[in-house]
Amino acid sequence: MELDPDVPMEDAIEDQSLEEDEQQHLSDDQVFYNNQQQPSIPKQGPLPDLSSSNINQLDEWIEHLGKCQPLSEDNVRNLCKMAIDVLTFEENVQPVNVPVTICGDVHGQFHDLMELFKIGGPCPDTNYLFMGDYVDRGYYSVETVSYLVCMKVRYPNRITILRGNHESRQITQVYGFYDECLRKYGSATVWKLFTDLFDYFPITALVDNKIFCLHGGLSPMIETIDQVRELDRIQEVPHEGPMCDLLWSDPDDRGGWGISPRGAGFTFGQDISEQFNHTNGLSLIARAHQLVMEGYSWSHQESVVTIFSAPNYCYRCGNQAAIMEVDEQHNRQFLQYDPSVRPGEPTVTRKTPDYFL
Amino acid sequence: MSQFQRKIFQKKLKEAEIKLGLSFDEEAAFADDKPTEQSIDRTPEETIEKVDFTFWDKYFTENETFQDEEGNKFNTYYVPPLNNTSPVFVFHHGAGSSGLSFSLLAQELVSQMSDSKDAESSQSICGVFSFDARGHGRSVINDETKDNYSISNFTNDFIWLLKQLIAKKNLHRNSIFLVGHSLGGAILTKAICELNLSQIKGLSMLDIVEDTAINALKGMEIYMGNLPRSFKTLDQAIEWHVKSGIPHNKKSAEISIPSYFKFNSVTKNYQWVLDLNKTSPYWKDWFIGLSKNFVNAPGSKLLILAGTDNLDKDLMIGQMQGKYQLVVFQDSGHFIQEDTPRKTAITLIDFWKRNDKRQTTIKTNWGAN
Amino acid sequence: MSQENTTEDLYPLALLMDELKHDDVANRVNAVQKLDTIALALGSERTRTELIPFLQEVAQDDEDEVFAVLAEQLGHFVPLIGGYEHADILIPVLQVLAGTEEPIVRDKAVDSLNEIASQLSLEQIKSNFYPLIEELATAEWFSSRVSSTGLFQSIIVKVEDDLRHLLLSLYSKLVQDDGPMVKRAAATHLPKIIDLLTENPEKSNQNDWDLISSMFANLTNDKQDSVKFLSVDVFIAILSFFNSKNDKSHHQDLLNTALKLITDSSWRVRYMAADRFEQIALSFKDDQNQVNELIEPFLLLLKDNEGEVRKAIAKQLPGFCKLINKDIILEKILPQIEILSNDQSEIVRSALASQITGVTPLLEKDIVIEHLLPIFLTMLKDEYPEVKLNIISKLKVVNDVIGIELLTQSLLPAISELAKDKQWRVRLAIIEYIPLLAEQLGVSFFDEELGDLVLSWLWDSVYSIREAAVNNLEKLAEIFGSKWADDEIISRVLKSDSSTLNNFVYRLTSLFTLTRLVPSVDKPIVVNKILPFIEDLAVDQVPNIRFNVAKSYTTIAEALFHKDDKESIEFIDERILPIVETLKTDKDADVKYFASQSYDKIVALKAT
Repeated sequence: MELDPDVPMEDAIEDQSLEEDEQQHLSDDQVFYNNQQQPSIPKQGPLPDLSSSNINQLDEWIEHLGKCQPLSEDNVRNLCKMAIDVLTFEENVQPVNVPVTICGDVHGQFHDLMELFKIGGPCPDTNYLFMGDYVDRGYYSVETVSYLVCMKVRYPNRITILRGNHESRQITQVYGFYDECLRKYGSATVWKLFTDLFDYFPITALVDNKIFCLHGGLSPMIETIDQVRELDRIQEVPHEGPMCDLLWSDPDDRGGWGISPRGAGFTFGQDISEQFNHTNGLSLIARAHQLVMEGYSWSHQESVVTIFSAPNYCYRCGNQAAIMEVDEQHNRQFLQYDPSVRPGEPTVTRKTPDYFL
Repeated sequence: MSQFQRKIFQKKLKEAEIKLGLSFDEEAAFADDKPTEQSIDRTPEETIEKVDFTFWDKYFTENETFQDEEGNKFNTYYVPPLNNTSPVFVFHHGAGSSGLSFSLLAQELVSQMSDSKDAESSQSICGVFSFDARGHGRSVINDETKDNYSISNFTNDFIWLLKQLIAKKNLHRNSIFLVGHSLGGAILTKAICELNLSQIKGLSMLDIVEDTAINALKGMEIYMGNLPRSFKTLDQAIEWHVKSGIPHNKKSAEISIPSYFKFNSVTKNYQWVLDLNKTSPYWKDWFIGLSKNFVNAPGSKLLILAGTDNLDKDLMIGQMQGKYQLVVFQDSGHFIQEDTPRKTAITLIDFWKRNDKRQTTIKTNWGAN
Repeated sequence: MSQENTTEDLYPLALLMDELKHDDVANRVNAVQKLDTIALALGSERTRTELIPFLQEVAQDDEDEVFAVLAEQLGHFVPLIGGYEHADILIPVLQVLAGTEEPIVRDKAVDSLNEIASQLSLEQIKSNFYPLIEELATAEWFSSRVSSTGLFQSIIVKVEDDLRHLLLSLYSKLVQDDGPMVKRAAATHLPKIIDLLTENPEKSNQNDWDLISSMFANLTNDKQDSVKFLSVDVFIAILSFFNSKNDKSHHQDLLNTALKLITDSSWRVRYMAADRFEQIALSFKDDQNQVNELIEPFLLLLKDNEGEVRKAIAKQLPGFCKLINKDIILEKILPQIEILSNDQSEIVRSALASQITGVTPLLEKDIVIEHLLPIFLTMLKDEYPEVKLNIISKLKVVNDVIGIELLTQSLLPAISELAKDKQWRVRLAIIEYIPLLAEQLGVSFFDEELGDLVLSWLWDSVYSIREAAVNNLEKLAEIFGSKWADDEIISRVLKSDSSTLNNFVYRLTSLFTLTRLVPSVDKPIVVNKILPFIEDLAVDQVPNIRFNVAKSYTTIAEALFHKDDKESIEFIDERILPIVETLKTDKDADVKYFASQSYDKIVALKAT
């Protein structure tokens, strides 16, 4: 039995019943594509245009969320339905064009996400590719993931949101998203809506056939990008196997494959990265998943880059954040940034005398 | 103590044990420690005896005293591994606890591996080793370091014990996994850095975070102030511990708590073996630098936390860089090995499977086409 | 009230009782929140005879959350029980709540009691409210005594002389209470009581003031800092009373007390004095000698060894300097300011930076130039961004005194440096300051000194800086006019070499810049220079450029359109609409969307 590293056994057991519930839920609602008509996923052909009423609705939600105010439960339900319609058109290896700005973990740090857009430019003027981990640990997972999903539905061609290892039912029960949903909505409904949606997120992206983007790293079971295309991604992140590895693995200084200290995925050395890039005609693997103090970090002689976009992670780690701009000529520029300055928040280190000492 | 007093005491003890529904094995209880009693009895006008906790044999197969050249005696519990390819889990309890704190966990580890349908496990059923640290349970320090509870003394004790264990039981070829609860985690982290022993394949800490521990120390004075000085019966002692959630699991408390006490036949009550006050001068050094050391320690590492993932800065950075495995048991109290022995055993077995190189070959399909 | 259907009448109360028995606190809180509805349903008489006694019982035993809501609710209950003549029946419940240990509950109970007291008659005050205060103030349990200190203010100027004196005597005991919590509460509420006496001069006499003065003496001599530092506000209240009566006979005594507080050995007390320094000094403003006695203490606080104190006093600089002679500022204060500008603590420097510019209007121009300007320049180079930002944001004040030219001359090197600061927010602050500079500098000087700089920001790596740079150029074009915009911006942007334009960000920023200039430049420039550039971009490979082109066309059409000018309409039909129409059929959904939006707007414009 392969244990999930971050998750208590009992949650894993509970989760099976959740899966059953979910099946129930799907057939009851008769909403979701995969249950009704069993269409092939990804869906082929061009994505249908949004209706103008949907556009107005989405613009309204985006404005609302932009103020860090969560949507109502009903609106989240509608949003997730619309998002599934969009995401079923995406591939396991979602093609993305240049220019694009590639970003790493956000982890519910909503105000820092807004800072990211101040640095990189607003969407849709700038194209974005986020490599997962929108929820958990920060205080505003609900607002953060709602905002990004809204942007995805409103501008599907301008923003790509991949799945991270935290976009999972199990992990979110331990690291905060579940509790935050309970706190903000009084029930787990919104958590369930989002975690059901996470199953549809694409797991990798390919920028202009040159940069392979994913949350974690390589898998000993995946030698070619075509093998990723063959995976059935619409499921909870498994405890092992190729899909798990893509979301969990880390590059390492040691060559070859190694056991990951995380308890899931593997470590891979420079030889592996170089071979993968060579086999697949790539120039670079871009991934997130690991905190790096400068916000980005090269490994394996620039065949792998790690990007982390949550400054002062979890409000205590003291790290910078970064994003990577890739222009039409494939020039790369890293933009580093610090935590956002929150209006009204005191920057003074020490408090004035306490009246009730 | 006179023969007469001793008899009376044993009778009382027996009554107490019967009340608790415990078996009483006179041989095992008093086999080794007759000379020790004198030394532990620091108030000669009183008559102080240890409490028996004999049903250790339900969880372990051997209960030996390891004695060093200075005459220090360590009370140990052991189950041998199935063979020399089996892993051995070596435990270290926390401050104020005892080796029996790992009884249920030891039992779970052995039985889960024996019952496993997976040949990997059933053919390499693990060994387990637990012991009472200095000043705890039935271990007795006789040299000049008697009341010295510095982390380096604990660490030196452990290193000596581990080497003894390997030599005595001929474990030179077995993989060893260290498992420390609370302060025990800090001691093992220090030990693993000093030992540099290649057969140690993994280190696991149970519910210990440097920042949290240091903050908790600030509240220790109050905690100790509220600590009952003694209990009339062991039942009451167990009751009190379960009520305080140390541990929550009554079944485990009944096994571990009696070993925290000695019986005073003058005052006719149960008193603590360890005077926590004596450890207070050493607190501040127990946990300093723990998180950094754990993250940087060699080998595979596992941190199991109870409740929430309240990591401090160094552990948070380490976790987000993938330096160790983190597991959170939301339904457990601080005594993880006692409150959730089954889940802990599953997690440790899995940890062994992943990290004992002997057991792991990474399957790859690269180059297959 | 209808008696026809008893079950229905009983229903609200029964329901409430049920809800209040619920295990979940949230349910009980909810139930209490709906008390007013229940009272309304019951009618005033049954509210008095049934609901209130019931609540009296509830108030004995529940969670603090429930109590807090109950305490708050009861404050609005006077109309529900049939008006103020019955108000005293609310007092016993609130009295219980005012005695609880939880501060939130107590505070709510005190607020509600004050609310009720404001509606009581003098008779009711005497027979109900005063006894309540007395009971609370002399209760055994400290929490009741703490609560009592908050109640005096609601009746102190309503009652007659003898009762008022009784109240003050009672208060005086609270000020000397054994419990520090009680003393602190009494000290905290005392300024409010004094202010009320100041507002109602006929409502106090010599006896009262003897009591107040002895309370103040007790507070200033208290052994605990946390009590003593509260006396600073009492002090200010007392001074304002005497000032309002134009009675200066006590000022010298009070000044001496102030001096003692300012030099107190506890930093908390000194902090409080520093934080209120301007207010203290203002109280003595009618006697310059007395104000001058505060100068040395002021200097001492500027040199205080506690950073928090220096921070607090730095903020008082402009306020205090207004009250003293210019020569003294120059001789004594300025040297201290200079030292403070290099303070080891960044919070002190930041506080100084936020206030120091306020001193400039008080000084002669040449003194500012000689003494203050160098300090500003030092602070503009501070390693801590907030210090720099605080100075930049206040430069206008300096400008008014020394004139922009001089300011610019001395500041230009600093500005050029800050323009490249690694903190983008510092760069942003400088950009936002540029239009002000431009207005004052005039074209030729501006071009010479800052021309290159303002364009360079367009190519900053941070989007927000590029955006601010575009805004900045738009404002500059408004100031300097069309020809300048053409020569200095448009021509230069269009001159960008092709390799630069290979970069999508450059093309997009150029597009934004030119579009924003459209309204401020002459039409031929739009038609001959801007439009061709935009037409090129209409077939750009990058969809983001194309949909921004679509948006730009709205702006251009709006600028060129003139209702009575047929030519302008023809021009739009020929040069603009066809391209927008093509974009409407683009393969990219966003281009289609924004092109449609633009198309509709342009068509609507033509229809006006």
